[in-house]
Amino acid sequence: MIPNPTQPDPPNPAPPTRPAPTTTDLMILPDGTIYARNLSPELAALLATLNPADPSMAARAGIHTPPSPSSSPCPNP
Amino acid sequence: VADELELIPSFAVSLSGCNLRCDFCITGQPSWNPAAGSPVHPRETARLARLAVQRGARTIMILGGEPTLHIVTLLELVAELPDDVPLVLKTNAMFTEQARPLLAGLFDVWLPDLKFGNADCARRLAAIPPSAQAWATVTDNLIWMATHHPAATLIVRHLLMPGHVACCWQPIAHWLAHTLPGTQVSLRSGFWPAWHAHRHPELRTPLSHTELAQATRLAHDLHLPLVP
Repeated sequence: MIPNPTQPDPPNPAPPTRPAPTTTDLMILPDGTIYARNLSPELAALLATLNPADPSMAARAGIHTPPSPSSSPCPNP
Repeated sequence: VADELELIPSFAVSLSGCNLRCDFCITGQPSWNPAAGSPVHPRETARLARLAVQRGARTIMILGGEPTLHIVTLLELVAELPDDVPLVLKTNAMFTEQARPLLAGLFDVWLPDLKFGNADCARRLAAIPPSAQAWATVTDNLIWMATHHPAATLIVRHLLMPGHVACCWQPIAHWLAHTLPGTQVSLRSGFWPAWHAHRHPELRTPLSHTELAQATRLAHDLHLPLVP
């Protein structure tokens, strides 16, 4: 199982003029649950292969179909 | 970033500094320095935001730390950002009443984080003194977000902390169901025992499946719409 890689707060992303974090932390629990932080799209793609049915990881890997505008919570997409 | 699926991919601008001191903060002390990082150049940041949107970003998100600490910079930045892309403010909602008119109407999505369900946990885990009246401040701001911005989206976040479903999530869930029924809720289940979480025995592990199930069941029982 790969849970939604939610975190207490998002990792402070680097300011836009700086490169993205170069390391990702993984925590694997005894039951096989994997947590990730500072998740890169590349690692998300790798993790998505472990559980292709997980839409959350697929989205973070950039291999999802975005929700239709009607399902978006954003009023001005 | 690990944000709600409806909001990603997002171009995120993180302003350093925070007015909370959560022992479980995954970035810890470095993110508390309001002078950390690089100075914000609003026009350049807006240019990068437009570029990101061209490459597929669906939203622009301003976060922290606590972004409202830098309210002047925040306003300067928002003034430059494209207005045809949903703008998201991620906040702990511990801003003052005086800040409200300055923030009013600026954001398409309010993403406040309602962290603690009682003053004791707020004091013990984030050094928030009871005199700060954190619960009243945050909930008043949530009501303000909901009632003064009918065209905007409000998604209330709550980080589920191990051992805090009953004392924190439960009162929050009941408050939301009673005061802001129908508000979208984002239950964050990926608690990471970072920074000084080890100071609190219950925070030395991730959230258990049992607690997640309990928390989710409560949300369903109270008809709180959960967003992934």
